[in-house]
Amino acid sequence: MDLSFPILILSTVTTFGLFTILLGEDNPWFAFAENTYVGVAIGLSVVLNTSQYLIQNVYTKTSTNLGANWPLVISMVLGLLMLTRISTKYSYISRIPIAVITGTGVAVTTRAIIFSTILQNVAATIKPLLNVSDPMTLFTSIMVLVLVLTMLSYFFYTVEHKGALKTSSTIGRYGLYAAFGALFAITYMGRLGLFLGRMETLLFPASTMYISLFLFVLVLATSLLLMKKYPELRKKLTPE
Amino acid sequence: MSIFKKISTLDRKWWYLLLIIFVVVPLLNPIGLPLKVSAYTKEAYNTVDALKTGDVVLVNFDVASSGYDEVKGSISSMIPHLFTKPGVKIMFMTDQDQGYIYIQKVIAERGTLMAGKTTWPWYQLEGKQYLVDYVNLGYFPGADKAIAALANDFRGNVGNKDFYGNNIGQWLDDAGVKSAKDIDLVITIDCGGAVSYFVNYFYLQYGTPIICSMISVSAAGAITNYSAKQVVALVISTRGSAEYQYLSGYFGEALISMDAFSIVQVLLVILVIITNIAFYFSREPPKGGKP
Amino acid sequence: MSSIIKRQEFLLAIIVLCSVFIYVPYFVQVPAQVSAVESWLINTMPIISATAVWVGFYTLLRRQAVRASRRVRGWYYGLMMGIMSLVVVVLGFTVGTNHDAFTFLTNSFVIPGDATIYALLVFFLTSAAARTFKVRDIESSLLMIAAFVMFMYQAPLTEYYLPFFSQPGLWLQNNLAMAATRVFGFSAALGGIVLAIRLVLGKEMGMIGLIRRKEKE
Repeated sequence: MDLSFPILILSTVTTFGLFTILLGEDNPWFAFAENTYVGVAIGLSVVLNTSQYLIQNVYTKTSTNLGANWPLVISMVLGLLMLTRISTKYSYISRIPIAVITGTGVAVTTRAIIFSTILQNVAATIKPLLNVSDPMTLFTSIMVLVLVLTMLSYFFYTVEHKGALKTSSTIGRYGLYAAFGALFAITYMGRLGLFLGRMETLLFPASTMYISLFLFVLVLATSLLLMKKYPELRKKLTPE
Repeated sequence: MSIFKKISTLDRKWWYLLLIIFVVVPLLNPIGLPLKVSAYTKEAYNTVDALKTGDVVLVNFDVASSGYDEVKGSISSMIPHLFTKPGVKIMFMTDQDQGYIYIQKVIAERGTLMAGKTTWPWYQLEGKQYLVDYVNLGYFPGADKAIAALANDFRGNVGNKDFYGNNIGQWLDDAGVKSAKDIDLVITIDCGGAVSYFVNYFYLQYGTPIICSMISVSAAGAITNYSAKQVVALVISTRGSAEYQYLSGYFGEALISMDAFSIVQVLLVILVIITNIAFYFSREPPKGGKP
Repeated sequence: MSSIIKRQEFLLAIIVLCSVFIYVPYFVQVPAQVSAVESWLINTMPIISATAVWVGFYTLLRRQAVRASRRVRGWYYGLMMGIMSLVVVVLGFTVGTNHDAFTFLTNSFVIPGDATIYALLVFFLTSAAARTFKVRDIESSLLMIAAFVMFMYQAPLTEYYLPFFSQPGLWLQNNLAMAATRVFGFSAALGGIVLAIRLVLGKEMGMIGLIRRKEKE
């Protein structure tokens, strides 16, 4: 059965429904799009986590070779203890798996962070100064080192900023502002790319474009009508 | 009310409408504006091009629909380009629950069903066939914990079954994949920051080279990894995807969108200049002083 | 037994034990059994994460059921959310994720929804840029100039016809933005290490849900 046409209609309605938030007020199209999206997304997450990992990986391994994989049974028990979170009386039991995952997770993350984020970045900041190939590279490397140090000095909140520290933190602050401008532009580029991708999906091929145009006019017209002419009805039809 | 005051207090919905017009018109009527290819993308292309027979590539689809539109251009060009390399074995994996959708999407769009097969996963692309030249290892939830687990005990965590339940134990043995050390290149299509996990657990432990195609929000962090030589190449966002499409010859949506991409950014600059002029001329002069 | 489980010291002991089994094998050569415990702990984390999703699912259903029973304004939207999620879960476990019915729902709602939510940000960024990038003082001028140069560099049109923006743009991206990201990375990493130490010392028990509540007077 070819479901491409209903998928096209529903996906376009979902897209334009979410776009109606740009009109500034909540409306039934947005509420519909938001709630259907969240519902299906949560269902998808549950299905994929359970079937693709718990069943296909854990259950399959333990059922085929329990002798070699018996520790996974303990893992599964810990996972099931997590479900006690639902009960008011027994929710304290769920702290055990949370403690395991917190202790392990924080340790796994921080043990690598020391090398990858701190040491390697320190090395990457200082190494170019030692392997100089031309004056421009040396100048750039010194600039980067100065910027990193001055930006870091801006975040010393436990010491009063005066004298050399004040100068350093001021330079760092200017550097941060300029960096935020650059990062804003980089972020804008990304979001623009997402928007362009979305519009391409709505506009190509030509048949999709006509359907998109019709639904766009329908959603926009009804939203504006509800906003301008029937505000009470709009409020009644939107969730609290 | 002066024109400058009107512009500085204009309802933002009019700016939104202008943005939509300047996106839709160039998309429907591409102009063909020129495009310069950056050094990052060239390096990514050259690295994939330099793969030789016997190399094993792990392709991670850290792709969710929230970032797919930014990286779809690189997916639709880098993956087919990778598939053209003879004798290279490819393993797909994902640490995002929606990632498998995009793995299937790119292979179905660019490939064809294998002879005698009617459904997933039996597709062939650029001569490479499923369970002969490439496999889909499946979904590994847990973000950095999953990548750490794979680096620690690759075969133990992958198991002997692929995403579709087919036995891949022999395939992995034939490809020479006993542990994470045996992977020659990691390509991560990154919407969620997986590159830092691969750097932490694959590069730092085994020196595995990494190519990252990422969304723009992760670009600054990825450039940090690149400058620290932790990542060999980058394909940054839609622009990088368009460049890769141009280099590889697999033209597509990212290239088409470059006109609108340019025009909107120039529009934003003009908008900022206009609002600054309007702000300057509509300011109230300070009492008792020069304006 | 429950009194032991409720004690902070018991949970702290679990955290410390897990941390030791993760840190030590990473820095020191240890017997195979210790490495096996490290592997087991790392493999256990995704399993616990996968089961925790069910807690979220149940909480969602319960909340929407309560709203529906109280006939809160717009309760039918919540009911629709709950029904859709149940349908997806049932379909996923019965017919599988490759079935037409399952892909119909994901392709109709999740994929366009996810993409649109992030694409919407471009509008908010545009109006934010128009309002924020004003030459008021040195800081805002620097902000605006850096963004201006980056826009000119990023757009293929201006990069080609106004090539003098390429070098400054590239410098801003590869050096300034990278320096700032390094600084954020250092700060976050140091914060993470401090958090790990505080966790092991028992000063961050709020992370596992142990919050001291002030007694009502």
